Amino acid sequence: MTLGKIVFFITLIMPIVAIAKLLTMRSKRYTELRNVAISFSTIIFLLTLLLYALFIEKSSFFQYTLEGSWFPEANLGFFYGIDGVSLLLIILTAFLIPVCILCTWESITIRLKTYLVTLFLTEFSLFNAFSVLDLALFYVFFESVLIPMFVMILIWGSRERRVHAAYQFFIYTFLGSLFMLLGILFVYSLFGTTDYLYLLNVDFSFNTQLFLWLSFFLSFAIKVPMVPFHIWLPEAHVEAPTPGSVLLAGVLLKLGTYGFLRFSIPLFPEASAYFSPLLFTMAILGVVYASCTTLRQVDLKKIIAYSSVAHMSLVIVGLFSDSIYGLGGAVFLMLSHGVVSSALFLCVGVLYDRYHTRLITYYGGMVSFMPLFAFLFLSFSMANMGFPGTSAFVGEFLIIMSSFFSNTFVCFFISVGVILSAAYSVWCYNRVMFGPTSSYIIKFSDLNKREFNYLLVLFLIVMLFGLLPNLILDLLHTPCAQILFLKRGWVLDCILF
Amino acid sequence: MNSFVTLLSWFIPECILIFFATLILLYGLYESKVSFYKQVELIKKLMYYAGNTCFFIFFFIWLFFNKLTSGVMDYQVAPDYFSYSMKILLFLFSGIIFMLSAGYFRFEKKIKAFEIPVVMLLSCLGMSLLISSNNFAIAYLAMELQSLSIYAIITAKRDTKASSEAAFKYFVLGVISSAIFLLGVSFLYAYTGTISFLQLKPILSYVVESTFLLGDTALPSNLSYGIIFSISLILVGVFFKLSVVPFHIWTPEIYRKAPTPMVLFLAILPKVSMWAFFMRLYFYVFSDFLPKFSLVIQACALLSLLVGSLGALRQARLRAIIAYSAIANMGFILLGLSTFSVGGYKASLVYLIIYSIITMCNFSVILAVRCRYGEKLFYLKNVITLLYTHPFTGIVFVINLFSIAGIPPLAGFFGKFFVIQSLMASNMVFAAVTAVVLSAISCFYYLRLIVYMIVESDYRFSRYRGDGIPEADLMDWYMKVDFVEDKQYYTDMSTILVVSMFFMACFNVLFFLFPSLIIDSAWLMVKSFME
Repeated sequence: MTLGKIVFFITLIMPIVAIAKLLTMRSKRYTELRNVAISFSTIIFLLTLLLYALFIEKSSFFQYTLEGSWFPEANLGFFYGIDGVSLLLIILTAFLIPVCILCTWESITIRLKTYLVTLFLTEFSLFNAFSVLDLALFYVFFESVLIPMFVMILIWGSRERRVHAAYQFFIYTFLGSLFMLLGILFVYSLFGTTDYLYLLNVDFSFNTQLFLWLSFFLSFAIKVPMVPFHIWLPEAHVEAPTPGSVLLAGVLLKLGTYGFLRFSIPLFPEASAYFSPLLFTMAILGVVYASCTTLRQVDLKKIIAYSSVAHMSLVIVGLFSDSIYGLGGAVFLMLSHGVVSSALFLCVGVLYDRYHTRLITYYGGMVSFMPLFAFLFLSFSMANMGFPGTSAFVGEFLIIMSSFFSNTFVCFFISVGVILSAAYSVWCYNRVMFGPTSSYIIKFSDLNKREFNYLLVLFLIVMLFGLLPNLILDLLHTPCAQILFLKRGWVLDCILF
Repeated sequence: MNSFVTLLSWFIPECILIFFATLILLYGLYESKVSFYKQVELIKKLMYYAGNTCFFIFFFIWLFFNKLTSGVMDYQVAPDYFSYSMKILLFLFSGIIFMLSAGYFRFEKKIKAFEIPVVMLLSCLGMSLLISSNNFAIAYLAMELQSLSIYAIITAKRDTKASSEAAFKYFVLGVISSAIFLLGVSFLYAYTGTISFLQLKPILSYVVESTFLLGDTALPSNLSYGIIFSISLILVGVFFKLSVVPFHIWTPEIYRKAPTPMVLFLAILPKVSMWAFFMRLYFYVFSDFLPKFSLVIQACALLSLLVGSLGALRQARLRAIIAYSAIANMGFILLGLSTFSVGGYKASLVYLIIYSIITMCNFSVILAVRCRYGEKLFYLKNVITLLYTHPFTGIVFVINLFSIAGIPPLAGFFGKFFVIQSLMASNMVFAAVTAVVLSAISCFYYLRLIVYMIVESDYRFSRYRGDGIPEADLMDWYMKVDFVEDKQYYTDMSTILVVSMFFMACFNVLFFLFPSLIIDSAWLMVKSFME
């Protein structure tokens, strides 16, 4: 076992250790609980950074591979390994967990222990889902995220409607994924294994590919969400507490695009090519429809939720644009959106903590007494519309460029979406921040030190990756090239590193 | 002489059972007459003794069953690996059930009959004989012993209307199904002249071969159809006991009205024994006729899923929901059997084990919590705030509900996983898709229970928010207010309940890491049976 493998193994089980530690503590001692949780989550984040440091960028193999027997006679086993895409998503997850703990440092006062345990459970499931290289186990972890999120929306959501939202979230996702389960079991009945690396080297017949692609598509499209299946997302976002929204927009949506990237495209290349017009159509509809819908929302969280739908549709265009720029841009936009939309939800959370409303009507003229907040909120709104210099610009630019080469028609429409995103971001910012001071607001307080610090970190990250995109793109080059080459039918020998 | 001793050696577990049952009966008689024991305490004590008896037999078979096993001969019972391992399962579950339900009698002052544990033990005896029966006569007798004892114990609270009504309904329906079963057996006897399984198998395969394959005219032309008719009559009897649609009508009614420990008893043990009997009957004796029945079994399974999933949506009573969920789970178990593949049988057995443990966990939650005036969790609204008033029980219940809804990585998911996998492996895509969609629908009512446990409390709680009480103390305050208002809970948290609930929750969570422990043994059992 090399050092990297040991670090990776520790990273995987660390959330469980944190849960075990939290469960042994007294549930009334809030300060202690918070301190333990923040230190554990920071340690996990540092461990993932260590993974980044030990990572070999140019290698085209899955690294830190771990194997374990799970279920030998059925030929199913634990098999972990990560490439650049998984590594970045794992780092993003690990980064958002301490932010979630920080952003609810004071606002969550009931059942704090359960809340922290829920966060670490989510983290555990996500780590495993992003790093497991076995279809059956991917399904297990993909689904197990539902339990903590369901509980989180139910317990710490703010309104009565959260029950409705939680049901919608759960049953939409569950029903979609069950079709993926059928697809996985069909693969298993064909080849007797669900090992990803093995399946990369087998040929599915075209009709099999179509069936399997559709079954996977249903589950991922609901998770992304693409437009006809997106109803659950605004509901869940609005009803979830701030950390719930942050995790949902930041990482959970990426599970869907990650699934497309990792499974649908390399395993079923011909079906992906066959269905890409469908996906482009849905993505265009998504971009234009979601952007237009965003314009007429009055709830701050719904605005960000619908803009998430639009951005994720953009990611889908990048994924299926059949070029290395498009794939790289899509992953870049996934990460950037993970940071930017989380930051926007955190900003809304800051407002909600102070005034307990999310409706735009009650806000106005905030800039005159919240200057720090106004600055940060402005930068994140700019990032959301893809302003040059911010990280979202790089991803959107790459995606639009690649779609220009592959399909100019699509390019035109998603550019319209980008223009609309500028419209809703600016307009939303304008209504909340400028204009006469709202008469509903009687207490004034700017960001406190804690809020300013975590928002500042997010701001720095957004700017850093906007100015130095190669930090990420270098990592993405090899895995994206590999996915594309597999699609072209070039045989790469997947010998483990 | 030697053969008699051999024969007797196969019956050692049953002999032990009868011996201890008699001992418990005598002890109960003695105590109730001599020392003026409080009757409820006496029943509780006897339940513990009965549970220990079951555990003793469980360990006995576990340690010695290799010596008990011998080759299959034309005897009344089949002492093979399959029957002994099913008996291990049966006595383990029955021991746990006796232990779980002992505490119940402390609250039911009206139950006077100390014979209840003894009758339950006799029912176990019937199940044990049914599992290893190798002959229709002994199978029928064992089945009747099992059922009659259950009719008797359902009337335990004979002062209440519900209990007697449940017993009467179950008795009438059960007797009718037994009569149909017996009719099928007599038809079979009329056509083949034997009721021994070992003699029936070659006769039936000869009939199939000569009628359907060779077109032999030496046999009467309607013989095979007569046999099919009698087999379907026998199928009715078995399906009634397994509560499979369309013979399921009794299930919600009995589950709702019978006393809780009796429901726990009847929800699990007869299903285990009837499953074993069904396996032996249909996959050993009638195996050559099975292609004629594959569609029927599959249709019944899918209908069970449909009724179980949709029927529970509008129920307001907890135990009615559990009843419908039992019907749906039986659908899954039967779906595994309907693949007619070894993988399917294995999946079905694994599902049966997981289902039993989950059901036991559900009932231990119901047994553990009591509302004001000692009433149990009866309506859904009784579950409200359970997670906060009883954190331990509530968390166990939540885990269990997620598990039975089939959310990975909990145990219930893997039951469904293996069944659907066996369906896909034998190309039954329609059944697989239906099962998947219906399990997503049935997920809703389990979620609704969880929502009740979490949410309803909150917005009653929010009434007191902002009254100048610190948020952190609000929960305590709320519980005090509630205590006065309308929901005074107290619990029957005996050590046994806590420990078993803890282990069942651990089973649900940790099954994911060590699935081989159960699946390997299921595999061995099914494989031995197939040879």
